[in-house]
Amino acid sequence: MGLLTTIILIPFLAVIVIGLLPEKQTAWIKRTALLATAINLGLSIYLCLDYLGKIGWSGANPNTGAGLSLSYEERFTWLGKLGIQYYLGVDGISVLMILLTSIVIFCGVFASWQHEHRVKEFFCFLLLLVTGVYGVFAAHDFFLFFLFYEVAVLPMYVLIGLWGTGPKEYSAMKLTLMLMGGSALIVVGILVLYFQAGKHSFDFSVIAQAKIPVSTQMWLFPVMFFGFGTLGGLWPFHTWSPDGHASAPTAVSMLHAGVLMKLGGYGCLKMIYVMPEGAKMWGTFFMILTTVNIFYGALVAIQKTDLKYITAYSSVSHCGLVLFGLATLNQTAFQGAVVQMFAHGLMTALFFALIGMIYGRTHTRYITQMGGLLKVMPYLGVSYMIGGMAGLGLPGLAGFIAEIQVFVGSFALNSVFHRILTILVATSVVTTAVYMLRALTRMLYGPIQDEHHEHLTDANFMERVPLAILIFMLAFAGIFPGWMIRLIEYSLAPVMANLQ
Amino acid sequence: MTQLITLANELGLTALAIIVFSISLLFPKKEDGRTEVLVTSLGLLALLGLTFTSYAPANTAFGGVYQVSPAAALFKQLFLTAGLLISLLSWPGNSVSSILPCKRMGEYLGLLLLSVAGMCFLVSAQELTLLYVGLELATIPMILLVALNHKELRSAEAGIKYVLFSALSSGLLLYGLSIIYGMTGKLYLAEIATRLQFSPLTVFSLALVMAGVGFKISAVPFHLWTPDTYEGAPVTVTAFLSVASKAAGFVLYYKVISVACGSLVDYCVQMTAILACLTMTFGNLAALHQTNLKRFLAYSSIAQAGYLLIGLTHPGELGMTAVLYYLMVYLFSNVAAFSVVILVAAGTGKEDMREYLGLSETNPKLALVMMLAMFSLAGIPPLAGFLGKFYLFAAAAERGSYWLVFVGAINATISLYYYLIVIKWMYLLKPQEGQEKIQAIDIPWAGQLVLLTTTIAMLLIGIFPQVIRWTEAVAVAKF
Repeated sequence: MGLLTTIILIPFLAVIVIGLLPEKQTAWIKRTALLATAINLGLSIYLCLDYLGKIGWSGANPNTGAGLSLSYEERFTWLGKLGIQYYLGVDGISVLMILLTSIVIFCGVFASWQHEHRVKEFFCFLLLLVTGVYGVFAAHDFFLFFLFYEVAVLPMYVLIGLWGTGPKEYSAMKLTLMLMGGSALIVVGILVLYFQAGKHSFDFSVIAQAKIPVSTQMWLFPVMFFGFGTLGGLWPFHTWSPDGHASAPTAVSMLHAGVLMKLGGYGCLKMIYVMPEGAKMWGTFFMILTTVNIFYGALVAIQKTDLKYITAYSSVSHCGLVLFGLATLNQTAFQGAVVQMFAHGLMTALFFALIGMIYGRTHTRYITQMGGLLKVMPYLGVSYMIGGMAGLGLPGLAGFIAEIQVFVGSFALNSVFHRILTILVATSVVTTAVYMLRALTRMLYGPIQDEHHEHLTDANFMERVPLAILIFMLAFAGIFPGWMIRLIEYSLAPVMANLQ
Repeated sequence: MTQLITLANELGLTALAIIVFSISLLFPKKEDGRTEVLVTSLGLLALLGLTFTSYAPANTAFGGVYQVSPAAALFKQLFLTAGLLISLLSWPGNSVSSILPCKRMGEYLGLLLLSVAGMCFLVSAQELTLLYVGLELATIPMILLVALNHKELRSAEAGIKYVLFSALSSGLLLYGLSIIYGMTGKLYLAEIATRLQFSPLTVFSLALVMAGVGFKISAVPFHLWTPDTYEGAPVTVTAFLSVASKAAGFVLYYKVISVACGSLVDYCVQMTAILACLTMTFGNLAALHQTNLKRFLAYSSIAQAGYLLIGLTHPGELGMTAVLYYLMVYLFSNVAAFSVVILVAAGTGKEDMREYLGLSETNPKLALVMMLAMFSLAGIPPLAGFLGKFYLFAAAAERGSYWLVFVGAINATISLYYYLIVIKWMYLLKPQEGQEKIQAIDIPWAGQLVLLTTTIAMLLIGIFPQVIRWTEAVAVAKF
């Protein structure tokens, strides 16, 4: 059994083990979940280092292949007649995403340590969700990719609906239906690609090299981009995201905003690889849409006072930047977009973890009812501040590396219109600063608003661990981005070659 | 003699029916119906085992009128499995409210077996007369079964509706078939296919046949009997009606339309595509607001028939594979859903999904099976429904009807809404004031067996490729 199958199977085995444990043994259930995610984190770090070792750490070894440069391939025929294979294989971008998934879920399990309501089912669904996410990033067969994609979307309904807060049934239904609507577009697209390519294979590389007719690409590309974009928070199909993330329990928000939304961007990148002509034709259109995305998200975030809604809308804005970078179809902007996926994943996970912890103490999520929290909980406060700084793109943290590359890449496009769009998007950094700093000041500084808040405790050990890991990764990726860029750049070569 | 051995399956079913009928006559004192259920289940299991062996000395009997092809064998296995599961579900446990009158258990199971025998004849029929006789043998016992609780108003009404509509549909079908016979002078399906020419009369007869078959599979606009009949009939009968009877309808559709009308393929495909769109869209939209689970599953089964019709728009191997596979998936998923409804109805008398409040806490097993069944019907991986739908869509896409795939995919999303509503009542909602959680239900062994079988089947069929390879091999061999 290969490394990738192991990574996919471990959370699933944990689901089975937890399923067999008696319901009362909540401590053991949590320990099992933690163990499984810890093993996966270790495996992902190994995967990342090993892959880097294979391709070489420096840029001296460029990728010249036209197919995606895959490693750790595992393939065998699954359903012969349609040529469906169980085909796993990763390139640099998937390696990065698998690492992100492992970090976020590991921290997510820590963040749900205080969870007491129907613990067994909660961890079963959570780990099932993660199994799907790993599968999507590891799959190289379009059918398998889609299968895991659906596995990942589904447990959300129960996770949000059962353990969420606020109008949770409504949010859960809205989220599930909108994402499933998106995948309805994707399933049509998969079949069109399969039959138009005529190669009797769902292999991404095979489909890409089959050169789908331009007339098909012309209508199919926007269909697929909207399909995946729905999960990536593309305006105007982002509306599931704020409600869903605000209602979801902490670990689920972390995982969903941190990792699942990235599946959308990841899928869009694959579509650009498969349909380069369509991408060129529709690039500008999607740049305009995503500009709206970035501004709309940021402007609404300014209006909100509920911390979860602020973070959710900032996610819409930041994920807009991912899609914006992808729509520019430029190497540098692509790199920026993928780094943004990684950075935003860590950042949002940090935010949602913190919000969960703060809400657990203050019992309010409204920044108007908080104040001076830095005095009573310095650890949480400083963590929030670092997250905020990463969000507004402070150099030295991962967000900066992402934003600067997207802006440089899109400004390099040789037309006035694109440059105007770039300038517009770049000014959104200011809007982001407004809502980030406003939330930070209201929450952390000034006099303590509520006398009950004076005796709150700071983070305990189980809470400090995930925050420390996430902050460390944000800073590490911000100060030493070289390894990330190397991973991405190496894997982008075939996409760029297709676009030429 | 060889001919009789070839017919062993159907003869066995008929013999079993007679035995079951007479049990209550021979032992009039024991009236709890358990012996009958046991005999029926064991008998069906034995016959099911028999179909997997190559016992038959010849594939055909009576000069080619009756034929056992691989596809026919697969369908027979489906019918026998459905019969077996339903018979196990009829096990009279310590139920609070009885779904079936225990005294008439022999009658009930005997009729069920006869209906299965009719379906088996239908599958093997290669000629119009046997086809029609098989169909009636399958339908007439169903009418009696629907009206089994004849003293209950709902059941009687359902029986009347069902008898009227089946009579009408049989009439239309027969009229259409007789015109076809008049034009070609042949009764054998294979011979009709070569002789049928395009003419207004052919199209007319085809429309009649399609309408007749449409009733059987409850395709829109011929579905009107479905919700009322499903609601009124005893719930085990509804379950049988929704899986076995529907599968038989599809056999008929395939035989008459796809086989007999070989030269008119394009017309048939277009008509089928339109029928598919109407059926799934209407079924889904009507299911959105149902709260009675029997009605809900009735509309859901209409929508499912729509998906199956998508597969029939592809007359080749891929279409056949998709339909066979999906029927298998649908059988297990729908029986799983119904078994929960049956067990809850037997344990508490509740049939409305709003009364399923807290089922996930009081009866976690039942809630889990129901959730899996809903996900399978909605087409969510790793359950079998996902691969089934994908194959149906692939069949349509291979012929280039991407619009049909699109309509199907959108419908799958709509259907997810109402399947999730059921999960919402079982899992998410907490009892408000004046509401109570549903009580814990004692599940008899037979019920547990069915729950276990269907759950394992839903998962295994979806994951292991052997099943679909099997259906592919069958589809190559055809009827």
